[in-house]
Amino acid sequence: MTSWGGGWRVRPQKPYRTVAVMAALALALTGIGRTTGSGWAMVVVSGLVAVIVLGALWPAWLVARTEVRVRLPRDAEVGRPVDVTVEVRGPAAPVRVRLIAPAGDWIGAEAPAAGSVAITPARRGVLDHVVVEVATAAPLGLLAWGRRSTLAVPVPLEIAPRVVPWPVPTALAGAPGEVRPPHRRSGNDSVRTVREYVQGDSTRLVHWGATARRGELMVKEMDDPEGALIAVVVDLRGPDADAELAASRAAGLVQGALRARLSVLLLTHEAGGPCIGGVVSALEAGRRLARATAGPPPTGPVPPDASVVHLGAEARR
Amino acid sequence: MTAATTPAATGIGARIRQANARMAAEDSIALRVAVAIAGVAAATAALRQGVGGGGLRLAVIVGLPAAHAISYLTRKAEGMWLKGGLAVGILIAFGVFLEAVSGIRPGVVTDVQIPLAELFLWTQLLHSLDLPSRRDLLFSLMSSLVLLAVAGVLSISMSFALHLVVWAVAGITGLVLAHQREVAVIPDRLPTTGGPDPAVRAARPIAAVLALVTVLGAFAFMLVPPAGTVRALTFPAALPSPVRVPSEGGLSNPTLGDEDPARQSDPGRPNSGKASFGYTGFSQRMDTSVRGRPDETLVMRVRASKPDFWKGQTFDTWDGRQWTLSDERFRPVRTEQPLRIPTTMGEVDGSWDELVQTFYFQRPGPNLVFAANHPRKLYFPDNAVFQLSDGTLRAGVELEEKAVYTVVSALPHATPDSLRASEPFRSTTPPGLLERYTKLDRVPERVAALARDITAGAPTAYDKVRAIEGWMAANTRYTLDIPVLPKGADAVEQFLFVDRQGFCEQIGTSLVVMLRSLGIPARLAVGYAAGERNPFTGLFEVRASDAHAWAEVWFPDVGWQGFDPTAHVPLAGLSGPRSAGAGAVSYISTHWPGVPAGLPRILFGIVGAAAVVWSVLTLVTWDRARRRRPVVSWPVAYLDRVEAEGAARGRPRRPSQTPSEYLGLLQRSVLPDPRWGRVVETVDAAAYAGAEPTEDERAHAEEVLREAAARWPAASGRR
Repeated sequence: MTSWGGGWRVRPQKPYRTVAVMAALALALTGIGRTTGSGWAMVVVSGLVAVIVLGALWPAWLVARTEVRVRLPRDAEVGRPVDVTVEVRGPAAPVRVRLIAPAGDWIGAEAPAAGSVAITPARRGVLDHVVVEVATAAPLGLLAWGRRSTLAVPVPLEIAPRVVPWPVPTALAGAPGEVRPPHRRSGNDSVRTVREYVQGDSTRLVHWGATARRGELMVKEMDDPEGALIAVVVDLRGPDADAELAASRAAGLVQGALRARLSVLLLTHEAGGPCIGGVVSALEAGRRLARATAGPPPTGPVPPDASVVHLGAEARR
Repeated sequence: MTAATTPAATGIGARIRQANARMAAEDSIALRVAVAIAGVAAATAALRQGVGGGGLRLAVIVGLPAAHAISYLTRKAEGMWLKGGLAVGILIAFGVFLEAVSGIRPGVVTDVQIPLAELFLWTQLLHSLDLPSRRDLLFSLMSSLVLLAVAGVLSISMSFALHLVVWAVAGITGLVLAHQREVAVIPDRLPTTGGPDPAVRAARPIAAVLALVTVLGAFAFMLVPPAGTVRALTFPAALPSPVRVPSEGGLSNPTLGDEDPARQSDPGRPNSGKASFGYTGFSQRMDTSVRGRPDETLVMRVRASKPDFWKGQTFDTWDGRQWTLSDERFRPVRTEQPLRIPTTMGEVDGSWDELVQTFYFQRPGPNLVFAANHPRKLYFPDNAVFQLSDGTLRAGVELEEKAVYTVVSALPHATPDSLRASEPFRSTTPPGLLERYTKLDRVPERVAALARDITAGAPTAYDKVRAIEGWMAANTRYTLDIPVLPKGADAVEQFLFVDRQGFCEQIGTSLVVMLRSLGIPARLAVGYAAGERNPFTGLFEVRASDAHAWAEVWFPDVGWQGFDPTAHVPLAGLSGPRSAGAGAVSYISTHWPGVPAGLPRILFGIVGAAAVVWSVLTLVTWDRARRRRPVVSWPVAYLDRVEAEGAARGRPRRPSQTPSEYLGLLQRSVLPDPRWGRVVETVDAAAYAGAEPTEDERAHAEEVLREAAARWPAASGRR
């Protein structure tokens, strides 16, 4: 969720042709009035001046007074639409609103108004702020004014990479058609927390008690999953396209590994430095990969029995 | 995802196709009705100014609404045949326009006005047949505004106001609705969660804009420059039905009934009696003991950039009771249009300021060609104009209602110094002028003695004029109610020594007679005072009661210079208005009796007070909002930074963790430091007990975080 965005940092928007045509007409009429002695021409000029002033400045006031609030979900994935809630309050006038980052289409609104807008994130990453643009030329449509507000997001939107299937090493995944034995739990296996179910979570993680209490599917987030361990090292240094492909493949690999009931250790580099940690769900993997940045991933410690898979820009694979 | 955009066209052909691509049809009937009303208001305004014949009149009145209806019904059709037909129609209208203006001399804009207005009318009408999209409707609105402006240029009366008001309401409604529609058709739209009904939502901005445009327009009217003719491009002239006066060069004034001078040469001419607006001064003689008391009838409108006396004729012979003109010989002025007016005896030709005046006759009048002093060019539709020896002009035709002509006068730069230096007794004085204009057949001795006494201390002719003016201002009174002049009495002597009250004829005559008694050439001029300026039309409205007589004094380097003892008039004449709306308040309160004199000022006061109150409220609201902004407390900000450092080292804070649990975790894992214990106490006390940390505690906590973060950089963090 974001705070309300409003303020006077408004600027006129192109095209200026309507107001320019009106101004040119007023100027021409002034010339005609001054050379023909026609008082009515000057009366019309006065009216035009009033319309131009009003049409040029009123939208600026409207934009400054219009506030927008955007509510973002916690998680998103590149290329998949996600619903964003937009609320508009302020003077009752037709305005246009759009998200600049992440990018969205213009939507019409007249305050007070609220509704969901689908946006499709184009890039992986963490959004800790959104940029919203409000624009209007109301009431006369002569000149549009707009304002871009950067709204901080207390809970960042983590945009996971698009999932590109990537094979789990055969040694770990087992032969095709082989059914791996049920996951063996040890005494160290512990529930870290319980959260809402998201697509991709394993059904074995459903916490039935919490689900019954909440009335919606809840799943467990586990600490220290055990079993065969795969360490996925994601190195995003290199060209953007290659880095994104690596992140996508990592997502595919992790999902495949989790489906194969492997324990997954994900090694990435984040804004704060190298990061290493286990992931137990596709959601968690998506968040980790969303936060991953170009930089040297940690080299360890990785348990000696773990299979290590390096994914990165082609040159570094 | 980005907003859908039309790919930019490349190449001229592609650009033309893109520009002419059919746009989405506009379904709003309200918008179409508003645009249609605006179009009809503009078109009828143009028709009212005499634009177009009967066919065009019928086509516009019936065809324009019908065209809009057809346009609505066919808005979704391709309509290539219609477009082709319209293109042909507009080409024909343009051809007619070219034919109409083909005979017009280059540089004469006046004659182009009516054909141009007709072309605009046809274009408006034809274009209204094909208005499928919103953009077309807005274009139609703009073209109707141009048509309205053309009609405004042609209009000289207040009847245009009705069309302007209707257009303003319809036009603004159209603009507001068009913008509302533009936003309404955006595919994605947030549902409204409250507020008034849709109809109220649509109507409220229209009412607000109309109110604000009225107020702002009134302010703008007070600021924009006035209409003027200083750099005139148009010189209107028209005679609706020219009728020759009975005698060529003679004076005709049918408004005087039996006393019409033209009846001497044509006793059988129609006589409808003396008109209430007739002035006896516009005759071959003027009896100062009689004033016809003309009423308030509007006799003419004058378009000029500043007021002046509109002189009709002069008198040079005084017999103690009445004025006559000693020399009625005339010469025809027959030159190419515009008629070049030659100078006459005593007139000085110089490169002076030009004053362009256009006279629009509202009532029949004398065939005197009224003009500000020193007319130089005359735009007159008839080629028979006659100039008398005193320089005044008479038309060869009757000047009926709707007669129009334009005069360009040369105004001298007369100043007290230039007039003092211009003594009328120099050798440059034309022969005969002194004799003609200082001649007095009979002057009472005490009148001459009074003139000498008043001007005893005045060294120059100009000073003498001012001295006599000053004496009369102090010792006589202007009134239209004067006692009857006794038989055989001298009118000037009676005025100066007995009655000491009179009107412009007595006052002007007394000045002329006293000046002549001093040997200063002077004459009496009659015509009209400037009249009241109508700020809306920009024209001076001259009424019959503005008929006036004043003195003219001759100076060698200036020529004839007017002096009006009944009012102080600057030598160079009165200045023009400073803004278009100058005098609007007094004009409104004078001509709309229902409007209290102070109402406009009250309204302006209310608007000004509302603006001040609004500004204050806005400032107060802004200040309150600023104060309400949440201030992030130090513990919260500190914990945010700690969480950021922990997250950077792979230890983000879980929602369930209390601050102390989290700080303990960091101490044990990625940010070990023995001093965290005290920090935990400080943060806990602030978070849960509301205890404000001291400066020392804050400094300590900051130091611990800073040093721990430096000692255990994020790059070496391990989970």
